[in-house]
Amino acid sequence: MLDRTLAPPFQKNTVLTLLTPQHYKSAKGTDLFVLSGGTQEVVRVELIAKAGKWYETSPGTAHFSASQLDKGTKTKSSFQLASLFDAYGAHLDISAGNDFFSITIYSLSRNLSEVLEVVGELIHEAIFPEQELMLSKNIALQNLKVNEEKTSYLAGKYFRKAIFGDHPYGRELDAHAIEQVEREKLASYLKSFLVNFQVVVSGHVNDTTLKVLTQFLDQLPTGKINGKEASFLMPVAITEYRAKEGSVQSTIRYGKRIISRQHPDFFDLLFTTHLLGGYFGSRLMKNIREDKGLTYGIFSSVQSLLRESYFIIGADVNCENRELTMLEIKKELEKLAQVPVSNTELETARNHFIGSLQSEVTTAFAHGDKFKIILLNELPSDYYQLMINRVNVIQAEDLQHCAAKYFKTESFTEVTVG
Amino acid sequence: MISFNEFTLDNGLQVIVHEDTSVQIAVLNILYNVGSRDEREDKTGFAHLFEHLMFGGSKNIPNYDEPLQRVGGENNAFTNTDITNYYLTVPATNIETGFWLESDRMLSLSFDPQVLEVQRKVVIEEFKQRYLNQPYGDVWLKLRPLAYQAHPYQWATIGKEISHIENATMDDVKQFFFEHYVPNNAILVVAGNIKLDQVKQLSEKWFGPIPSGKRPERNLPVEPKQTQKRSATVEANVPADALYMTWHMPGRFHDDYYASDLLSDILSRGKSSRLYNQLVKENEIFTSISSFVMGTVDPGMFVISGRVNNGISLHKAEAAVQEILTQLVNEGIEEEELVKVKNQTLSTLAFGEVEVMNRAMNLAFAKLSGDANLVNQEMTKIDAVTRDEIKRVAGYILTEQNLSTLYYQSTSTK
Repeated sequence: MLDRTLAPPFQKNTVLTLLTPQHYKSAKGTDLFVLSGGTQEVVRVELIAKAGKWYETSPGTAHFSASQLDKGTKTKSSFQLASLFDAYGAHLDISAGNDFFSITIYSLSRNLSEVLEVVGELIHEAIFPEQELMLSKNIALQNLKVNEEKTSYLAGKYFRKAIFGDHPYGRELDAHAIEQVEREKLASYLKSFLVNFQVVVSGHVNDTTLKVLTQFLDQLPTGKINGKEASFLMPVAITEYRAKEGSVQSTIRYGKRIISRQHPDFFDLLFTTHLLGGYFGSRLMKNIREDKGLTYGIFSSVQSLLRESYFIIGADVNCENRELTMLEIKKELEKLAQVPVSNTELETARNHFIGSLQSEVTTAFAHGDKFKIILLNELPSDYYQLMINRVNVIQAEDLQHCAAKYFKTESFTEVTVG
Repeated sequence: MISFNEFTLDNGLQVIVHEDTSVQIAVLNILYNVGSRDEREDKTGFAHLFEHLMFGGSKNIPNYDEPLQRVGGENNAFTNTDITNYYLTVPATNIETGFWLESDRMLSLSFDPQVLEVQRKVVIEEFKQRYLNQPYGDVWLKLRPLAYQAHPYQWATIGKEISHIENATMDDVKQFFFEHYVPNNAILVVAGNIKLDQVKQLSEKWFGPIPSGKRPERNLPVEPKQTQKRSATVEANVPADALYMTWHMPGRFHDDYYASDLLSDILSRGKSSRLYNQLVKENEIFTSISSFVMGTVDPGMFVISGRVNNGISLHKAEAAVQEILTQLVNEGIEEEELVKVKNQTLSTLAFGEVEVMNRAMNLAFAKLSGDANLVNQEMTKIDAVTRDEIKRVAGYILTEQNLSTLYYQSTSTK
């Protein structure tokens, strides 16, 4: 007779096998990394330049350089460009984040050559038509107004502003900045910063695709970045509540600037954050959602940017439960430092942490994502295995130590909106 | 091409196996053929509330999540109008844990009153977070009852109103469970680094002993043919006016579904599409516009929605959309456009099959049509669509009497 009360035996596996990229270098020095895998004949090509918000001299330049890059070249209108990409079934995603500017191309492997030809034209011959910029600015202004009706958007914006101050990471585009964006600045940003791309390709890559890629590599611009790095003043921890009329819920963002990937305590911090609010069975989810029913979801996470990281706890709760939720969050943070975690909880969190990392890398694209983090942050190639190795042996007192060191609530910034 | 094998247990559970040894993991997807269309109109939101209760412990296992997390697994679920779908991922060597957990909650839930009380609150917060505390968040709560007057698609999966969730009782929960959560109403897909024989053995072992249940015949009201245009106006504190137009269209497994889907792509997919190019870019009537089809099992909705530019009235915006639709209905489409949207769809299908979990879900949903191999026929069916067919479906879908329009009026632009 089957005894359903007994869990089946299970095995623990602590190996994470990541694809090793093939590395190519063009004559001019551009790096190409290829992670080949998968049976579907699709490919993702990412061109990544160190640019983004960090290097812009006026707000919005990076963002609009990205959004306008495919809006016209010397010989093609935005409609012609869009028609070409659409006709090949290719998808183009151009974005400027905090630290990087990236052009991501999703294409059927067999159309890659034609698609890359158009991408090359964008990089070399984008003209940023005034008319297109006006249109995009108008749309951006309306989108901004819609976002400003969302408590989650506002809370995130005020939180980053509070912890990063005038640093580029704390900057969010406002209406004034959008109105001030000029096309000349976009063109010069492109010229100054869209040099020295690193190219990461994942998916179905055969000899033909590879040849297409290496030829494309030779056309990419190279040069020296002429930008000065930004600096910033350290803001102090604050508590801020902003009412928003008509809201039925408040958004909570609670956290602080914290150590980065290179720090020796980083793996301990990641794992402690996981146990606290990184998965469904975490303490915050159990307490605030599964025990008290105060929220649909609550999380804690470490957001690692190139030059800074921050720790954040977030939730949306009924306005009248805001204070109760904050109280419980603070209790959980203190408990982590004061009371050692039980063996069962530690094992569950540990196995889940390792298992979910392994489950993430089921596609060549996911391998590409992991590799990109290693590449762009200049981490050792076995970074994720080192992470697993550390999590595999971490003990209750290590978590307490980590919480005591990094989760002192007096150092936290609290922003609630709604 | 997704290769698979299938078999059915004596209790009626349909099982599909898709082997992929290139991954370290295994996935288990279980689709229950029940959604919000199976709800009573005075107890809406129930299928989804029930999905939450499925994580609150089963007959022999007090907590669903913890044992799965302990073996390195992850899980989630979703409910829509037609199905409730549960899925999990584990390191392949631990797939039996998935069988153990899923079979026990199919056998019986714990029916713990405390779980119902907490999940009721969680779902109410979800309702608020997703539908009430977002600009335009309530649009589906308003648009559905305008488009449907008889069929249960008239309410959103989250429910018509919060009070229905507040009033759910344990008796409702039990009745719902024993009616719908039976092996002969489910499709199990196991995929990843597993073997067919292993899945056969584990399915027999864990699911085999569960008795099949009596299935009441699904007898849903048929939506009568709409004979004249409907419209409604909502006023809300949003920054811009928005327009929502919806027409009735065939269901997901109807022969005309693919032509309808391509028609919506021709209208709005990509920046070279008709609606975007003419209404956002050339004439600056909208700041965003999209058209899409709801791939529901019963006849669904063909939707065009967009946010309107400052200074343009909703009626002018609607007329501008109508003008483009009329032209399409009368003159049809260019061969070039058809080739384009087919390529886009081919690309989406290929990208969609990269992830093993997606392949498992696609197999389960295809099986709901009666034939899991539908996943491998889709591209051929899409490829076979002609310009004439697109013109024909446009002709009967995009008519004035088949249209319901919701004018979402901003109080600040009024």
